[in-house]
Amino acid sequence: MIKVHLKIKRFNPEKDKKPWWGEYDVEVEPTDRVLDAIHEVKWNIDGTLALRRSCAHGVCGSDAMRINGRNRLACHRLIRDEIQNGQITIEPLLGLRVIKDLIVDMEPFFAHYRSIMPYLVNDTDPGPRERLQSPEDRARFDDTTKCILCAACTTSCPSFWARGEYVGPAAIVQAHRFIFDSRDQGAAERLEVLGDSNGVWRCRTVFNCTEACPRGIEVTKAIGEVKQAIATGKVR
Amino acid sequence: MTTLNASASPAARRTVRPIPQGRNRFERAMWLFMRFSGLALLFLALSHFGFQHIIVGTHRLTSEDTIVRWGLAGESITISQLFWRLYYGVMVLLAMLHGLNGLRQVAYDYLKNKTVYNAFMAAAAVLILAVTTMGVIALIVGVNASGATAAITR
Repeated sequence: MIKVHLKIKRFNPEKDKKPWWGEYDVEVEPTDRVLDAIHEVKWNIDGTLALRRSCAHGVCGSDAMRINGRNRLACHRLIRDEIQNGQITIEPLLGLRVIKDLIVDMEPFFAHYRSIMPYLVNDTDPGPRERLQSPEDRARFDDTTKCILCAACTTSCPSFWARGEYVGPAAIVQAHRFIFDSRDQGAAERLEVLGDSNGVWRCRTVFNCTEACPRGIEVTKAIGEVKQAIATGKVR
Repeated sequence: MTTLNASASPAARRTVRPIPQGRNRFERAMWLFMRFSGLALLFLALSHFGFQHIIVGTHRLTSEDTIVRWGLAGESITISQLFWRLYYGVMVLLAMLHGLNGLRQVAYDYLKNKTVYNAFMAAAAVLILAVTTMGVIALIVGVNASGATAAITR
């Protein structure tokens, strides 16, 4: 067991005028996850600490937060990899309104997600079977199927911090997943949404999103491919 | 055993229905402009650097070199002088417009009030286009003889 000093940014809009740092000492294993250390605080030190988490295994994407200044999933990062001089600093995601402590209002994020029509668009009759696809066609958009909508990418993006109207990397990744799906027919509509002034053109290729993605998706590359599709009118 | 018999056309050959043009046309054009002007500027700036500081040489650069390369204002010019005037005219034009569009992107991020944004961009566009026009005219017209003589004498 090692001792870890957790510095957690706290804010309760019903009580606090501005955010403050809560400091807690916990004992955990180096191989425990950051989420375990936060649980230690929540369950044994201060029950008022608010956070989101569900599966706790890097699948549901609900515990994305800023850990030592970088967007990470708390259930995905081990104490030994994050501890710096005995301390770990934890903050809520940037760019979204804080509801309480580590919980942010995800609605603007999901509104952008809905705007790109994140579902298969195809009105043709598939016949008696499912719509088939070759392994090569499936591989074309494989990377962007991995997105778990944790918002780590979108809330690491300086363009999104500056302007919440920007559709954001996650919505573009989700659009990419359908635009490059050979079974889908809604690419033109999606590319129109993403070609708007608050669409893909707001991306400055900073690569924060790629660095932040806990699933290792090449987010900036996907955004680049969508830009190229809009610029050329062709989905390759 | 079920075998995969994909009859869907490969994604590689898909062409999207025409994207409705309108509000997005400007941003798309600007994005393409930034890419192509950036590439052109890379070539122009590096070749300028190579010519001035390697071929001519940093320690041998004089105002006379410039006059010979540009030619004097009001006098007939050679093909070589025309080339250099156009070369630097294009560089100034692309650099200033590239910068103006970059400034527009930054202003859009920070100036949330639409009136303030429009006023700022209008002022920036007028100022930058005025400076660019002056620069391009100065480059295209050539070196002012009396001014050049004064500079060399000093």
